[in-house]
Amino acid sequence: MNKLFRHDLALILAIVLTALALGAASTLLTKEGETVEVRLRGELYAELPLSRDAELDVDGLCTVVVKDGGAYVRNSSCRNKICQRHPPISRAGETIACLPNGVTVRVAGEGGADFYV
Amino acid sequence: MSDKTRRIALLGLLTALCFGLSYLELMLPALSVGVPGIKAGLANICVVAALYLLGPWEAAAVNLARILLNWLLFGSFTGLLYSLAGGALSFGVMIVLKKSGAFSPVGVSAAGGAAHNIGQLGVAALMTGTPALMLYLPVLLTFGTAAGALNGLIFTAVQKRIKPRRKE
Amino acid sequence: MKKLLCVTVVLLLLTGCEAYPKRFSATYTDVFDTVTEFTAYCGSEEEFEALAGAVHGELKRLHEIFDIYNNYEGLDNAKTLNDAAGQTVFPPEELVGLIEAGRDWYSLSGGKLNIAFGTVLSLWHRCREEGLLPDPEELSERAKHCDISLVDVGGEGVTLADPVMSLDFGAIAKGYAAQKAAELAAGMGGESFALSVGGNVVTRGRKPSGKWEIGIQNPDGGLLTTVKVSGEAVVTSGDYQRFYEVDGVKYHHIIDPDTLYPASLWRSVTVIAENSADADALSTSLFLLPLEDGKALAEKFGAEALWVSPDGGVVRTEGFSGYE
Repeated sequence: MNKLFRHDLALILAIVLTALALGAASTLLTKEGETVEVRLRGELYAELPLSRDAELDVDGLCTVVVKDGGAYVRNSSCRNKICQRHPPISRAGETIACLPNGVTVRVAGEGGADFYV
Repeated sequence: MSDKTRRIALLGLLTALCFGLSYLELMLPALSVGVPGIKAGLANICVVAALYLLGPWEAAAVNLARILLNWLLFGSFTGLLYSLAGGALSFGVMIVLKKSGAFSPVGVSAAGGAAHNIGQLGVAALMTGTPALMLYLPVLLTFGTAAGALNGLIFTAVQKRIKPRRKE
Repeated sequence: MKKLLCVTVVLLLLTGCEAYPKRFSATYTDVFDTVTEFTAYCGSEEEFEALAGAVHGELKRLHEIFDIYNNYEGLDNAKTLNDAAGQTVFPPEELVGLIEAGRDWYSLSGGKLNIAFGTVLSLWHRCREEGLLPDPEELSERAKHCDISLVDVGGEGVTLADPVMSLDFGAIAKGYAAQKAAELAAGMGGESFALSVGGNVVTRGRKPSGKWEIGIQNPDGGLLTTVKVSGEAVVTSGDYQRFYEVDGVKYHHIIDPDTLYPASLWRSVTVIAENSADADALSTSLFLLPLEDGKALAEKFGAEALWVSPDGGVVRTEGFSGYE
């Protein structure tokens, strides 16, 4: 019985340690995984990680800027500039659109709401 | 009482008890933490008991009866699929570990609890097309193991007390 | 015991053969001058493509009918009607239906929601494009041609009896179109989907993991709350959705017919209702109405609402928190 009990403890410990390791790995991975999808007329144009500051020129139409974990649009060639006034987006599902140019910027990934209104 | 009759009676008893425990758990919200998928799973004591007192097929029957009855009375169909997957995986793991003879009911039940959550979550991730659900695995795994170990401990305690009576 | 074994094995195998629905999404930027997103859980990509194609097609069709800026070959649409003010036009039944709905909403909202406000709205629209402010005199001059009782609907023909008048369906067209497109998709067998036409969200069924979750934005950025729905429509009218700035002052797109300037009673109003057409018209009406009038109107439709006031205060109808 005593030997069995030691085996039990080892088994339980092994499972819990695996769980902890998985948990640590997943938190590290998800932080890297958050991305924004830039689409031009519905087609995927580029994917940018939110964790790294970057600037992307979209076909000369506008610039998508990633800074401090949020994405926004700058230098848009469109007339009304609605897209430029949109505050930075960072939650999964949030979207900035430049309709005249057909550019959409959307935070990808699970979690968060299905739509934002 | 013939051995066969006794076994069938015990099987019925365990199934009924199993269902009673499911109901009890439902009545005691204090046992759940409010996170989906995390619960004590007291009814699994009966599955472990059937495995040790009767045998693997009887335990499978109790397990299946538990899942189906739960589904008919309180569950949704998707919930049933999750439970079946969890039940099947957990059951396989428990049989293998028991056969190895290296573990007491506590270890067997703990591993069973962990396997149950892996199966459940795996099917849920597949069905909803959201692999990100697997991110809950670490939490569920920890709780599943703890719940399984608890069930194993309860069974061991009960077994010690009912054993003398069984040997008429 | 052998029998039992067989039953168990068969049951376990069956669970492995189900066609699990997967999540698919499509985004369109070519209808109703806004972003349209369609998300559905389908067994296969082909199934989703068929559903999304039908939804997109229906939205495009309705967009062309309700469009007041462009003509389309062989179609007597809203622009045709506006251009031909004074004469009788025979537009598609959807446009006649929307005009009739518009007249109902005029009386329901006590005159605050007026589809005959096109002359004033088009001036604001032009000024927004150019970044200028409208001339107050021109605004009030144009406001003289907004009498909805001069819109004649007789038989299948529509006549704008005031030759200067024009119609604008911006407050109700998206909700109406989203409703129609959702009904089409449901008729094709779509059981679990959500469609957002520029913030007019219609839902059907639920996700495998639960209800549809709609995040309600805080007018100053960030998330105010999340509502969970399955089957209901959610619409928000807010001053942050479409606006422009002149000399540091923001001018948004929802014009109060009594002041002829952007309404300032509320920062945003969110409505949850059974029907997306009602929800859209309600959210605009409530945005323009005082709280008590708005509450009474919402109650008429069994709708729930959330108001954000200029000082950031939040007011809810009694049943709204049931969705949070």
